[in-house]
Amino acid sequence: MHAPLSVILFTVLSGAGFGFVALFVLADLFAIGGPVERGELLVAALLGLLIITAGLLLSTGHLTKPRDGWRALARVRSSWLSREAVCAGLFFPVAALYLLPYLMGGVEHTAWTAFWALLTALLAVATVVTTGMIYGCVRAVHDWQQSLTPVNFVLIGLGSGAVLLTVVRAGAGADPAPIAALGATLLAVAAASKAAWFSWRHRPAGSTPATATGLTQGVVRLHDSGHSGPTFLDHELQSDQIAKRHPAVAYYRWLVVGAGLALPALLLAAVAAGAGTLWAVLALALVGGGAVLERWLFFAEARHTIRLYY
Amino acid sequence: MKLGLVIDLDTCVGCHACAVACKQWNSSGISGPLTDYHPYGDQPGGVWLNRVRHYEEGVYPNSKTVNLPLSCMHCEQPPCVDVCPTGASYKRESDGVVLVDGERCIGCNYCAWACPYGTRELDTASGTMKKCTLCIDRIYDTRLPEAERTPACVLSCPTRARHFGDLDDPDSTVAELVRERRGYPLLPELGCVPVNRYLPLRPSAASRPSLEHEPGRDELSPAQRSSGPATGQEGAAAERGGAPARSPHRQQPAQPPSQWPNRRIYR
Ligand code: SF4
Ligand code: SF4
Repeated sequence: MHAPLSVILFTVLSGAGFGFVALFVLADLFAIGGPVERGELLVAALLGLLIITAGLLLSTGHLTKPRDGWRALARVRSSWLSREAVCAGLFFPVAALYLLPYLMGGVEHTAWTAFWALLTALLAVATVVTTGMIYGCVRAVHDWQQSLTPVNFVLIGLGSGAVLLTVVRAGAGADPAPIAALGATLLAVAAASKAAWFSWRHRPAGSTPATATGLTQGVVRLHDSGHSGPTFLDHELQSDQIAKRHPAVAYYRWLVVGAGLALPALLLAAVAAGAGTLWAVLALALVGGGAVLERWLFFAEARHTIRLYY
Repeated sequence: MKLGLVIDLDTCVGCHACAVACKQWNSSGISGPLTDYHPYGDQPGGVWLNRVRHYEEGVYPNSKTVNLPLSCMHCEQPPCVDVCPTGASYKRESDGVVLVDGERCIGCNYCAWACPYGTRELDTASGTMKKCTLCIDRIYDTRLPEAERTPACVLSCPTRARHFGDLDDPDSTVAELVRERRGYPLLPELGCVPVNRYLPLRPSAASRPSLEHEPGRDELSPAQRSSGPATGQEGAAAERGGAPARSPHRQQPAQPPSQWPNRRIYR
């Protein structure tokens, strides 16, 4: 499939941003690694909203009519894209209600503030689930149609959010160890689940040239796709050729699992065990690069059924 | 009503007349224009709603070229409609035609990703998704003579390989063709339940047993001569008053035909 940079960055940024906010809310609510001060909260809120907003703005980048993007709210009952838009849209007012008491001058948590806090975290995770399901529900792309697809989106989002949160908590002078331990666990699970996703891609597909054409009397081979110029379909759906043009693509998969997810998990584990914050910053760089590479592969390697017709 | 196309892969000669007629009609119809990119450049491209693919079945010399025209199947469970976030893609209740409302489409391409058949194309000039409308602006146009109220591709096909009609009506020509020739959907395993049907190849001449000494041959109905494995066809043929499926005069060929071992017509 075509891998537009806007969509790659959007899914990576919004995943990390929502993951960060969800975990931050938990850290705040349960004072994980010490209570959250007002200054840290402002910085974290600003950072989270900035990342999420940048991601969501980028997501309109591949639309031909970005200004009509609001129309995407119309089909919540059937479309995951619509559900994502609605979840992301609800997130902002709910997050504002969660933040409001703080902005008016710090408060102790009451049942009421805890409610908005948890709702914020829930919407953040729900948005990432819907992003994963946008791709996970496409029957025409066998590689994506796995239950692990949305799981990976959530794990990578939460994992990279946890790395960011470790840095933020350490920067604010709180104890980063508990969050680092959580992040290490999340990233380790993400590495395992991504590795499983890669191998599950190779399960046999139900669709073959024979089912695509109904020709069952012999080997079926595409002779000619009937056009001599470039087409929209070539560009948009047949771009697994991109992955083919990169001979090292098989190594990229190991790079994602190893350097992008497992290594940062180890670094965070070291932070949890008392190593310096610098390791968490290194983990942040690794996980960022890993997530972008992971998303690029996710699109570039995906094989659409129309390859049976092209 | 379930309007759709029935395409005979046996008679299609792969001339692309349907694709060109589609492009011509729809350039000025409700989906028009179908933009051409760099029409006079090195690499001209553009939006087409119907494309013809060419396949080879079998291994040379026992192979056959099969031409496969592809346009929207007007699926009964259209994933393109389910995924569309704006409601721009919709399936009409009255006749089952799947259409795009250009006013609402935001060009997110999601429907093109979801369609397994690759029959939707984004027009980058208008920024909207375009697809086969079954010539919705022809088939209901009472100003046209009745015989012309049919999709442009069907009208233009020189070998009459394309048929249009209501597949819900068991007495329609298309439903009858599907019954007699065992019309089948493409990619049935994906669960989109396409309405369009394809009629399989008739057995190739080379694979038929020699029929020279068979007096019963000319009594066979076209359906019988064309059918694949004959189960189920006998009953239908008998009901219609055709000749019995297995002529009493017929002999088994001494040598089974060698070119297409799998393609047994007469058992
Ligand atoms: S063939 Fe494709 S565009 Fe047409 S109804 Fe089915 S899924 Fe939708
Ligand atoms: S490109 Fe248009 S018709 Fe297709 S899913 Fe997006 S809004 Fe709907």
